[in-house]
Amino acid sequence: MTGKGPCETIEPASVLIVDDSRVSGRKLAKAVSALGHRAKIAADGVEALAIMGQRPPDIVLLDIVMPDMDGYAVLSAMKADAALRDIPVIVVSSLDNEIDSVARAIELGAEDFLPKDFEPTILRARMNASLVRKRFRDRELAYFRDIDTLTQAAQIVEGGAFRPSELDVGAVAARDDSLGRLAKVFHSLAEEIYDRERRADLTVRTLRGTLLVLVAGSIFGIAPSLGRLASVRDIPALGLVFWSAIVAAVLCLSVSISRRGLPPVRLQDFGFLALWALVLGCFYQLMTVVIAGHVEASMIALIGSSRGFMVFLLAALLAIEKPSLRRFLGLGLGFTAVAAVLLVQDTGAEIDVAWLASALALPFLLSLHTLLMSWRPRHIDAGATVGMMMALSALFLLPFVLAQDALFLPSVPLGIPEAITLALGVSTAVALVLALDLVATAGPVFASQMAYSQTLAGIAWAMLLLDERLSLLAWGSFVLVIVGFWLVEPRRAGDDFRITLRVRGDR
Amino acid sequence: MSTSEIDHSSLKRLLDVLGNDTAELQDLLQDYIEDAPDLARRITDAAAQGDWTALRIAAHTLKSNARDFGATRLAELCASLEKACVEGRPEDPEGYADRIRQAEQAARLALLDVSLDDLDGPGSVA
Repeated sequence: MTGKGPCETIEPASVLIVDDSRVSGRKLAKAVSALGHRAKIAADGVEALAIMGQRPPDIVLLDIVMPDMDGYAVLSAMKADAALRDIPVIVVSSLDNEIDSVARAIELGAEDFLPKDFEPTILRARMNASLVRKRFRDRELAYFRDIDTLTQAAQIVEGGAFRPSELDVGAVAARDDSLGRLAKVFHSLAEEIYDRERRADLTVRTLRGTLLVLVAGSIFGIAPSLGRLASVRDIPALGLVFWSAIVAAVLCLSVSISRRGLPPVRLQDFGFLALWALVLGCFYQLMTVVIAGHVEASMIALIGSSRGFMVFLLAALLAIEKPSLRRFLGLGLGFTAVAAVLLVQDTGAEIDVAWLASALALPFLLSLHTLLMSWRPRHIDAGATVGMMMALSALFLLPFVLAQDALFLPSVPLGIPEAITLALGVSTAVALVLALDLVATAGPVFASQMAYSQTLAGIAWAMLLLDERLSLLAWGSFVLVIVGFWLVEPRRAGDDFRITLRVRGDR
Repeated sequence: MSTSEIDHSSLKRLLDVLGNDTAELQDLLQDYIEDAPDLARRITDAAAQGDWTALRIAAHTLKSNARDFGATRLAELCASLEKACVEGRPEDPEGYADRIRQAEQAARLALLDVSLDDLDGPGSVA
């Protein structure tokens, strides 16, 4: 027996035999199995293509003369299909009267032919030759594909915008040859570049976020002092807040429209704008001005620091932040400091505790406002968003202003009331546009750290504009607040930043 | 009917191709015995209907099967008919079909008489 035993020169292959004769097909299958390969029989061309479509074999032994779909049609269909065109086909022919048929099949892409009354050695030799060529071709194609993958990855890296996982060179790096080693070196270099870019990106964003926290907080912290100045001059709170909203709306919308044209507002955007207008433009602004008439601006600023602790408490409860004894100690210290300001009177001044307590609503409203800002409609720019929100605030306030007869008319030339109104409107507009940018850049938790700069700025503005002096107790509380912040370990700036290095598809 | 209808060297070669597996050869012979009369009938039907394509394909298949089992006369008749179909309209197709039917029957009966276990000895050509 010449063809018996496992295949000596090549690994076992999957062989599809296409023959309408049950006897011929079975004979071939047995001979192929005796060579150590796996054989499958298709009784006609249609069945053969269906089998190949599901799982392409390594080689096809194809009869030419078949009913319905003959061997030529099967060959043509295979050559037209990218997934099948490289599978070697050996035409099985009885050769009498079929020389032309074999020649035609080879012209159509058949690899070789086999006589129907073949010898097992001839079957093995022709199959092995075809399989060796196919496997060499497969390796060559895989090599070219891997080179292509590596080249594409190099182009992505060259473009300076990528994530290492998207380079997709893992399969190439798994190769046990020089191309595989090149892919490994390339991948590790790409990861180094990515890490460097990521660190640079985080640093830039941290610096920008920190700058925004300082600037926006400093500007926003002026509101209580302006409210107190207005209260001293008997300027109606409702009127002041209404006119300042008008100023902020006109300023933001005129700048935005002149730069970008009319904002692309959709009907559903008004839900967000109305809610934000109620929380910030109406309640927060009005309460700030009203409470400032009864509580010193520096105290309001100090109480406002509790916003930082409120956000941490919320984050710890929601498991966003990891709680620890040290952090809860800091939290307790912070609230103790604020409670001391509220409850202990050491100046002898007439301070209503109820008004002090009501000042706690301000940091609460600001926490809501910070969260709301992260849901802003992104298709509208920050200036237009703030402008429309302030315009809606003015609209909501108008009936109450009219009912309270608080609509003081601006005088010409501008006096103190008008200057306070302008200062409140402009500072609110600028601080909110910066805050929106901050939330977009760094996320709401990072942005909540504005509470610290706002507290410091609030005290500074009160000292500067109102000549307020903090009591010893207030200074002590202030120190406790700072220590509390330090113990709580406010979120590190970098943690909040999303890595959004561009990738090729994003361009 | 005698086994002289059958070329034993063809059967030996077939056994060799099947890895000297006599049981497999027996199974394959059973397939042949089942399929051959049907192929002969298809030839008769196609000849009567003048369907030269069906005639050619059936003659081709029966020719290959007959060669594998050493049914030389049947294989030659089928080859001749197939050639005539390829070249155009065969002369007296029904006569061909009749001769093929008879040869198929003779070969089948002869094959049933062959002792496959004795093929290991020197082959004989009838």
